[in-house]
Formats: sequence, structure tokens, C-alpha cells
Amino acid sequence: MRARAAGVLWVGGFTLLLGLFIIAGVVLGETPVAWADLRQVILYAVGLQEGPVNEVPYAIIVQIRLPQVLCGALVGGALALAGTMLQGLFRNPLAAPGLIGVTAGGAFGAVVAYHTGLAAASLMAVPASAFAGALVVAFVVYRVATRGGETHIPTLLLTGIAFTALIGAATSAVLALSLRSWEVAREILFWSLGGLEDRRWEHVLMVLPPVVLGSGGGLLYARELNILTLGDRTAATLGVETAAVKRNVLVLAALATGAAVAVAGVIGFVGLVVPHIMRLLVGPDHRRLLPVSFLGGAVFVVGMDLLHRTLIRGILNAPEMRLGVLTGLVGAPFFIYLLIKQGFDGHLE
Amino acid sequence: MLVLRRLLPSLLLGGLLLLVIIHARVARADGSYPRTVTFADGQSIVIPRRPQRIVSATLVSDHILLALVGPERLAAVTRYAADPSNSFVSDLVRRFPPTRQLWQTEGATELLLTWGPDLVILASYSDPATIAQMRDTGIPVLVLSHFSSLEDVRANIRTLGRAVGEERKAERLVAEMDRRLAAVARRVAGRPKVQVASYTVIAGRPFIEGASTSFDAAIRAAGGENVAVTAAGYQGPVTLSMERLLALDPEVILVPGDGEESPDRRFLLSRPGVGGLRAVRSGRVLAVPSRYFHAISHHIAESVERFARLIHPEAFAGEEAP
Repeated sequence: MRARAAGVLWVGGFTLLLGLFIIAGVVLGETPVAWADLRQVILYAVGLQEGPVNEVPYAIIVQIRLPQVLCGALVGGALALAGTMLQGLFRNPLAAPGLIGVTAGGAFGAVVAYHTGLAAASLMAVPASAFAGALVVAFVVYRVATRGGETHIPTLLLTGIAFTALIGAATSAVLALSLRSWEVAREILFWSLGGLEDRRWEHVLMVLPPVVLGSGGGLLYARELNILTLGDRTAATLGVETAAVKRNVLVLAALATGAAVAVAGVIGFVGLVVPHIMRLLVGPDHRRLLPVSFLGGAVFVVGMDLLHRTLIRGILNAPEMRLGVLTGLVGAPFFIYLLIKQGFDGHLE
Repeated sequence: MLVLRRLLPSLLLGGLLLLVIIHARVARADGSYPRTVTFADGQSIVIPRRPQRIVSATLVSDHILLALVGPERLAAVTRYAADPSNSFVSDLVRRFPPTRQLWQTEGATELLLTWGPDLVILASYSDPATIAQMRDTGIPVLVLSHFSSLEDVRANIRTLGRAVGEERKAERLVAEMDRRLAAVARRVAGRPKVQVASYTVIAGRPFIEGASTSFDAAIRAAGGENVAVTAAGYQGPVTLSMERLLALDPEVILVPGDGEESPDRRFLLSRPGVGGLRAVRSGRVLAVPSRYFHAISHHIAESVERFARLIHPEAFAGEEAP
């Protein structure tokens, strides 16, 4: 009972924190918006005031910052949750969403979209192609590692690594073929750095269904993931349909990660380390850990994006810096601090 | 007195000889080799003979050398120079067969050597391994390194002129460029500076040209104020958020491309909040072929003329554009 209350407290606390970060992400940014404008736009947006409103602050808050912040929350949440699910499934602290080939597949899809010129034809071509690439690669990895309906976890791990290398090589091949056009080469570089700049409502609408589906579905498997940490055989004797659980957890994680990769490129660190930080805070019980991971990942990415826009781009005036760089630069030292302070050794139980 | 009279023929003869020698030296100034050429970064090379098979491995040297020595003394040029969107000399460069056009300097040492060059022009942004390998061969390698100001342009023209033995043509090229710049300066003198920003989409991301770019130099010479520098303090080309562009709110936005069909222009006009920009409301998002954005040869004078006509149309009223 006490554990349950603590769980509710953690989830509630992180939800509140995420709400605060989202508000801060909309109110603060690279350039200042006057309080009067801000108030007018917010009142107008929630229907408490009649228009017309000033066009520029309205665009900045409603059309530029809000979709970017929401994309950040969905991307961070999806990556951290998928990371937690996969670490539980693999019973391996090094498992990250990239491990099942999703990130490599996404990057490949994006690169192909640029190389073939699809990217120039439509705004959504790159995310759509990245999403497709992520899912296709994840599916192939799963198929290769599954024999007679049973997925052998170490085989899955190795298959993921092998396909990541293979798809990475294919991506490099496309890059080499398109080195003559600067555009593609630069896009791949940008992709590998990750970012949320200029994400629009279209991107929010695109990423929302797979993330909600993947994350919501993932939350339903908390109990099974708990039991799976005891080993496949024990889980089976406890009535868990291990084959089905593995398949479904993989599909859901791939769905969420693929969507995240599609709209934000490769944002490192979140999917690997946020789950560990959350596990240190709330313990290994997936019923608590999964929702807190989602919220924690969302808070982390929204916070880093806010730092990126206000401090890095706004105050330090360094627009070259990328969000994906910042998440590693800030997140990794914090994690190292936790390792030293807590004597944390990556145990998942 | 007698001595002097006796020596007079010899003195006259000597004087005459001296004049002839001085004259010959002056006349041979464009032709005397070996000579030492010092670069903008202080390094220098010795060029043993007047180069006849020059390999130009940078877009900027393609432009300058075609004006100084013509295609005859160029063994190879870059392929970028054949693309009219990047090049002012694409017609001339198309005469070079593809086998004498260079794509990239990475791993190109062998290719460069097959052209049998007696002078190779590279740039500070060329592949460092290729630069080192070419230097090891003993063939004179000239590495250009500063490209962002009008003074850099003049210095590069003079350096190349000295290297290829065409100092006078180089001076004439600089003088012609300065004459055109001065003509624009007279037109825009006394007019209020127009606030201008560039907007270039690279790999799906918008960039703006800050300080130390040829765009900045050209805009200032054209009677404009580059807001990326004056209002944002940006250095070089940097990524630009829509939020920042709305805050900068320039009077004119220059995008690369051709008129209404410019993909960069369409990209900008599809951004949220774009209606809040002065330049959009007044129809002053103007497309200019991208070669004008990145001209770092004497052709920068054409960029300045083009930009000046766009941002100060009133100063050129009633005149046909060239």
C-alpha cells in the first residue's frame, strides 16, 4: 500500500514537473516576448479573450514554441520509456532503443529520402521515410532472431548489433554516393546530432499516435516485465506468455522509438540513461518505473531544449550547437555523478 | 674638364645602358622566374618557371585564373565552376572535358598528378592530406586562405597574378572591380541603410549569413545593413530559427534561387508566423541566383551591383538591369 502511494506520488510529481517545464518552454525562448503580448496570446488561445491578437507573438508562442515543446516531450518520453522496456526485456543495463536497429533504420530512411529527392517534394517525406525505415529494420531484426515463435534474447541482441552495423554501412554508402551534393552529406550530419528546431504541428500530429500507442501499450506490460526479470522459464511457469510478451513489447518500443527518431533524428543518451536515473529514484518495479520513465524522459528533453533555446541560442548566441549534443553534454556528467555517489552498478532488480 | 670631355661618351653610353637594363627589368617584371610568392597567411613558395599547366582546385581560383590566364594555361578546374548556379564562368568551364574537372580534393592527389601540373591552387578548406601530399611532390602548391572581405578578394587576385606571372592583368582586374564598387557606392551614398538578411535552406534547415562572409561584405558595399551581424552578432553562416528571424524582422530578405520558383523562398513562406515579417508583407523576399551569395572572386562586384539594385531600386530607377 505504501509502495502504491509512493508510486502515485512519483507519477504525480513528475507530471507536475513536466507541466511546469512545458509552460516554461512556451513562455521562454531565444527571443523575449513581452508579458502583455504573452498574456493576450495565452488568453486568446484558451478562448478567454476575443481576437485579434498580435501576429508575431501569436506565431512565436502557438505556432513555433508550443509544437516544438510538445514534440520534445513526446520524443523524450518515447525514448526513455522504450529504453526502460528494452532494458527490462533484455535484462541488460546497456540496452537502448537503438539496439533493435530502430535508430539506424530511421537514419537510413531519412538519408534515402534526401538522396532520392523525396525530401524536397514534401515536408513530411523525411519523417515518414525515417519512421518506415525504423519499423522495417526492427521487424527484420525481430524475424531473424525468432525461431519457432520463440525469441532468444541474446540472439536478438546480436542480431540488433549486426543489423545496426549493416544499415549503418548502407547509410554510409548512400552518404558516399551523395557526397557530391552537400545537402545530403550535411543532412546526415544534422541527423546524427539530433534536434527539434522548426518542428511544427504536423510533426506533433505525426508523432502523437505512435507514441501514445507505443507508450500506452507498453504501460500495460509492466507486470510481465517485472516477472520476466526472473528469467524466461520462471516467467513461463508463472503464467506469462513469454513469446507474445516479447513480441508485443518489441513492437511497442519500436513504434515509439521510430516515431521519436522520425521527428527529432538521433537524440542520444535519453533512451539509455534516463531509465537508469529513474530506476535509482523509484526502484525497479515497472509499474512505477514505466510511467515515471516516460515523464522523466519528457522533462529531460523539454528541459534540455529550453536550455538550448534560452541559454545556448539566446544568451550565449551560439546557434550552431545542437540539442542532441547538449543532452549528452549535460546528461552524461549527471549520470557519472550518480554512479559515483550511489555506487550504482547497473543492476536491474 | 678634359677628362670629363673624354669620359662623356662613355658616361652617356653607360647611362644609356643603365636605362636599357632598367627598362628591360620593368618590361620583364611579369616574366621573371624563379619567383617567391607569399600567401595571405605568411607562408611562401618558390615558383621556378612561368606556370603553363595550372590546376585550379578551388572555385574561387577558377574564376580568377580564367580572367588572368584564360583556359589555355589551365590544366584542370573544379566541376562546381561548370554549374551556373555556383559559377559566373560556367560557359568557359564547359569547354573543359569532364576528365579535366575536379569534384573534390579528398583522395585526389593521384588525379591531380595525372594532369601534370606546374602549379596547383588549393584552399585552406581543401583536404589537408591532399595539401600535404601535393607539397611533398615538390610541385608548387599555392593555398588560398582568406575569402570573406573585399580586401581578401583583392589580395587573392594579386597573389594569383604574381604566381602565374600576370601582375598587370591582376591589377587591371582589381581596378575594374573597384571601379564597379565605386559606381555602386556613389549611387547608394547618402541613402538610408536597408536592413537585409539572407535566408538559405541547407539540408532542410534555414541558415543566415553572419559576419566574415562574402554576403556580408557584398551587402555592406551595396548600401545595406546585414541584420545577422548588426542585430544578432552572428559570425559566419549559422542556423536560424523562425523565432529569431521574426525578432530581426529585416526590411529585405534575400534567398538563393530564381524568382518565384526559388525553393528556399517557398520554404520560408511556408513557415508559421511568416506573415509577421515586414519583408513578406511588403513583397521583399527576393530571390537571387546563389552564385551571387558566394562570390569570392572579382565577380563580387556583380553581387554588389545586383544586391544594390534589389535593396535600393530607387537609386537605379529608369535604368535597364545589365
